[in-house]
Amino acid sequence: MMRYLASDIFKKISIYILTVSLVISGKIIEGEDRKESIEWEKRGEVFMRVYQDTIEDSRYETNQEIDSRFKWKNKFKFRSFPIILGINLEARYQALVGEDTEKDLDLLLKEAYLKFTKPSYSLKIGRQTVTWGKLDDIIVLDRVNPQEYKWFILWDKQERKIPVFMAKYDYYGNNYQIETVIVPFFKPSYVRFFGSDWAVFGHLKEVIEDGSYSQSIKNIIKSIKVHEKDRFSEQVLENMQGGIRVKGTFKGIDWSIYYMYFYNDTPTLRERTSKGNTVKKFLYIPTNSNLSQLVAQNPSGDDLILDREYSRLHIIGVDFETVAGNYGLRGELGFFYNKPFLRENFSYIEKNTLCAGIGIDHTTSGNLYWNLQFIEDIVFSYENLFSQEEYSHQITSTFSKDFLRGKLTFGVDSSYRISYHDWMVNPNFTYNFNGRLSILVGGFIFEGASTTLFGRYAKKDVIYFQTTYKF
Amino acid sequence: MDNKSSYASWGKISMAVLKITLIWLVCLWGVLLYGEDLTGREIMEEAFNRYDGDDAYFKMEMKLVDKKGNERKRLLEIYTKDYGNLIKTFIKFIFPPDIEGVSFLSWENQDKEDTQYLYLPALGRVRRIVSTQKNLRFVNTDFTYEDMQRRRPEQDTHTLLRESSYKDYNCFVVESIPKKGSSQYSKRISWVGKDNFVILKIEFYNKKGKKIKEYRIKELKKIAGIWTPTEVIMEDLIDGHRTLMKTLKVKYNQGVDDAIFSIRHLQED
Repeated sequence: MMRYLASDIFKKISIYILTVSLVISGKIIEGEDRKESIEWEKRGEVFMRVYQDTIEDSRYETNQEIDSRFKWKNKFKFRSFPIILGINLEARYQALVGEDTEKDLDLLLKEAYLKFTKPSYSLKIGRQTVTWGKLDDIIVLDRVNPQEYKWFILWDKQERKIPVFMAKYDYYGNNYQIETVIVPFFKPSYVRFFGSDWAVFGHLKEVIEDGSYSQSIKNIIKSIKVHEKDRFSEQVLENMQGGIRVKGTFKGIDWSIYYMYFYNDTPTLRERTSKGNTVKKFLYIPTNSNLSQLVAQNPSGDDLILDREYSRLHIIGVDFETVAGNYGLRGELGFFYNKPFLRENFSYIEKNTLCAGIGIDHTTSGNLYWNLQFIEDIVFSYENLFSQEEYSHQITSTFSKDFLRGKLTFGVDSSYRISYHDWMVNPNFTYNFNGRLSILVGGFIFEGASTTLFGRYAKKDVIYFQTTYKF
Repeated sequence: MDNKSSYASWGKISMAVLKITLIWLVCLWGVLLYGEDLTGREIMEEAFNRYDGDDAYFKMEMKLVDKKGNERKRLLEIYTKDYGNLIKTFIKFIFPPDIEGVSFLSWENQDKEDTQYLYLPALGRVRRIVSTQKNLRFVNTDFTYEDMQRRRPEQDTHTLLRESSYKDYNCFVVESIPKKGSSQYSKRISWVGKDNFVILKIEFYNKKGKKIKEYRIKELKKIAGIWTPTEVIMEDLIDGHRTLMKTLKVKYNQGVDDAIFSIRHLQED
């Protein structure tokens, strides 16, 4: 509840003060010449998504989920000064309707920034979102903002982005641009481990608690906790992150080169004691034999506490985008120094990796749009890792076609992880009434082994209905 | 009168004579040109090279009307600027809300396809897009991307068919057949104003030779000395759908900033 507001209260107060003072100063000028002082661009949307679980596989599952959001984006352009003020507010009402109905109302200051612009540079300070990289809905280099995985991947990566406080300085040369970002405080991606359908370990604790297990087993499982380490939760400059991107165009190809010193903002579980590995083994592969093994070790205290670990990453990357005939081409490549993994015995380890992706898209003469992307991950100095091959390949695709002059759109997004044989398909129909109101009907189907990314949610296929009103 | 001022006076007189001579020559050339039979190619070159400002700003209303009369409205702003014989264009949609903020940037290239970028707010970044798929509809209107681009006279073989009238204008009627399959159409027939070289009407024919679309100027005004179509219609004769474009605001030669035609502006605006 009020998650972001509580954690960043001081920063926000200062932004509010700045905002109010600027608006007041703007209004003073407004009195003299209303048209010339401030240009206020505003737009918003209200939408509600209702998910319906297709099959009730267990009584812990949420049958219906409601996710409604109100967004209001404001941009103030001060004509007398080279300043833009952006304030984006969001209100969310989310409900998980099932065995233990959960309701949540959040009021978020989504973005609040000041941007100073000059012909050769710009400086943007405040809570904001940055998009790097060229691939669609795949994260290779687009790592400035953490992601919200509360709803796993039911929203695309732009919607999942969590705005963070940062300073972004852009320099504009003749045929090149340099972008630098400094993120003073670390904010991890939001990942829930227990207690929801979309949590990494789902309802495992509830299943054990309500099952026919001895009280000592129940107590052990109940005591398993995932902690945020102090050094990550504290807003200290020690956690500062930064990145630089140089981009330009050469012979019709748009290119960028990156260096980033960031955290891997998706948590990996790190054991405090060697028994912690057995705890993880049970959580990731919850079989009776793994449970027996855990109980036999008689764990206590620190054994049952797992830490969220975010390793420091040095990332060097390149991307490109161009057109070749009637086809759009784009790609990204990143080398990651010290990316975290779990070994097969579930102990924590860091490895250097390479991730490369290439995408191609095209619209046929019949107005069918398709987009294919191939992504390859390579782990250097490979040893047996849990759920991670040395070379792993993934294909994503998007198909969409408009009917009735764009009023009706049918689309299918899918992702297939070739190396792990797990996949996801998201078919959807959208009907746009008048440019303001639209309705969408769609579904998410997940398949794969229970230890794979999509297979973990194989029993969580949903259909959903969304209404959107834009103003 | 000293020599210096004498030279100056003679200089002024000489300059005046030169100007008069030049004007006379231009007029004579014009009389000769228009007096002689113009070829189809010459007419289309005149139309292509017609002065339409060094730069321009338009605020347009676009209405999409289906055969039942249902309307959808769009508002957009267009900036264009001449760079020699190449043009840069920036388009921003401002209504309705589902496409508000979508922006489009196009740079003409010498002897190459245009370079085009699109900014979609939902994507959060500028995206390079293909400019060669000319047969696709421009934002679901009756205009295709080919219709929205300038077509250079050398891309077609032109024949003057006849002289005719359209509305109150005397026109040349010119048939243009694309060279080497450079178009989605088999031919166009254009009505070009004899006095102003404005293309007032175009008939579009598909590869089977059937007339499929018609473009007509409904209102033409002279603004800042430049003939400006302020209301046009493109009608799809197959499905009865039509697109009306009305110019709500226009400004010529305001010194539009080069920065407007940059990727930076596309993603920042």
